[in-house]
Amino acid sequence: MNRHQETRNALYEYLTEELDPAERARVEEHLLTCSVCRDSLTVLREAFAVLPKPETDPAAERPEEFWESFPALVERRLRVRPLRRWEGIIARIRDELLSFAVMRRGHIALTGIATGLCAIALALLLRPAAPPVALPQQQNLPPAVAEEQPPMTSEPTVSTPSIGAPRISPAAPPSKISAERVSDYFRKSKILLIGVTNLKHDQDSTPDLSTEQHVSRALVREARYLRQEPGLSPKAKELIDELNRVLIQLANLSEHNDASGIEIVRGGIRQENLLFKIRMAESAINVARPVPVSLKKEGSPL
Amino acid sequence: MPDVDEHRLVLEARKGSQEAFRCLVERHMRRAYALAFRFVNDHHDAEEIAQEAFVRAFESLDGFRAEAEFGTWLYRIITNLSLNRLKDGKRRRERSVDMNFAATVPDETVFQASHNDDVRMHIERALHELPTLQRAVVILRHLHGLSTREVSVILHCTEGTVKTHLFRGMEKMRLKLNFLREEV
Repeated sequence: MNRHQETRNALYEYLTEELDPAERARVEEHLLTCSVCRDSLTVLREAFAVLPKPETDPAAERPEEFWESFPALVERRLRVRPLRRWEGIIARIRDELLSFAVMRRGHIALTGIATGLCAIALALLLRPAAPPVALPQQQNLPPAVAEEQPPMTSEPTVSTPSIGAPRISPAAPPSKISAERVSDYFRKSKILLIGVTNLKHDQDSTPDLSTEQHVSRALVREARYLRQEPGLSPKAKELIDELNRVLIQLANLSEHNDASGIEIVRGGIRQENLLFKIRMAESAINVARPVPVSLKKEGSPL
Repeated sequence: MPDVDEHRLVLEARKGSQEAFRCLVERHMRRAYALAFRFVNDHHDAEEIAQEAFVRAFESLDGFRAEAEFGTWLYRIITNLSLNRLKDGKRRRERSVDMNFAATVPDETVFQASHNDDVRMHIERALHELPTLQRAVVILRHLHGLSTREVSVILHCTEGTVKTHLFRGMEKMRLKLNFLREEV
């Protein structure tokens, strides 16, 4: 392990003051001369700022009666399920194997790839000298391999449109989680905008928009996160920017907002045709998203 | 060095003493529950996992090696149960997600979320986007406050691996949550 790696690994304990004096002095000495490790320290400091060590204990959120009855509930569970010892051990082994598979998927995949490559190499070494039917297959091999590796992150080219391609397609398919987050963001924005558009109020009274403003702020924060997602399509990004303008307007309405302020927000929603654009974006995401097998079987039109 | 008193309780529980096992449960239930909650972020699931972990621990006490702490061993069971629960939950969510999009009824809860819940949700999401090992290290070491050595025992890896994954995990969390620092 090199000096940078060693220092970087010690930075967490340096910040939490868990290092012994000698180790602390060694880290500080290295930090004086190494800008890379100083940058790493800044990164970690910022990480502590956004994810501080929790001050609250989740266990304290449960009432004392809960903890009084907890041991009895465990014992009841043991009585209801009188497993023999070997069954318990089997359950533990199963959990261990499952969690190993979950945590070390990368290792398993690498092992699989390595085994596959070994098998191919062995097959090539042991194949017959010159089979007459092998030549055409080998000639077909390079294009097949080339097709298997399309450039995943490149933008679709306008000059080569394909008939079968969906009309609205993201530049690169976003990951499953970010696709869910984008959809979630659009869904919440849609509900909020519908609510603001349909808001009924008298000319004299001031409507209470604190809840809507709170949701707007949350959505603006979410938009900041989504905009940095690499897989987000330019169209989705453009729509998020348009929505952001309206949401910031809504979030910044003063407490004594009069009817004109709300009308400006409503005007923005109408002018940009935002609700229609959100629906279009939602259907684009649903087209791009692979449909679960169980739903296909149920005869879903998707 | 294992706690001598606790070691005695484990030996008695292994012989079938319910009283000793109850003592062990009472000693560890809050920390066990808190750890499960930090993984699943749901009180009902955390209760279920914590209780199940004690049952599993009791059923496999024979396999418990005296050189480890009972708490560390219990945390490993909780970590496994939590990760498996999250995996199952993720699968369930993926199956139901398209059905959710089909629903057009406004979600009332959207309007009821408080600021704290909002931040908590962002943290939970960011955590769930981390690779599993990094997520487990960040939760066990940073959020639950276990030592590097304890985390290495729980995850069956070296202390160096824990430190590396901790730095990477924290680095990613900073990137994912940096937007929370900016005010509207």
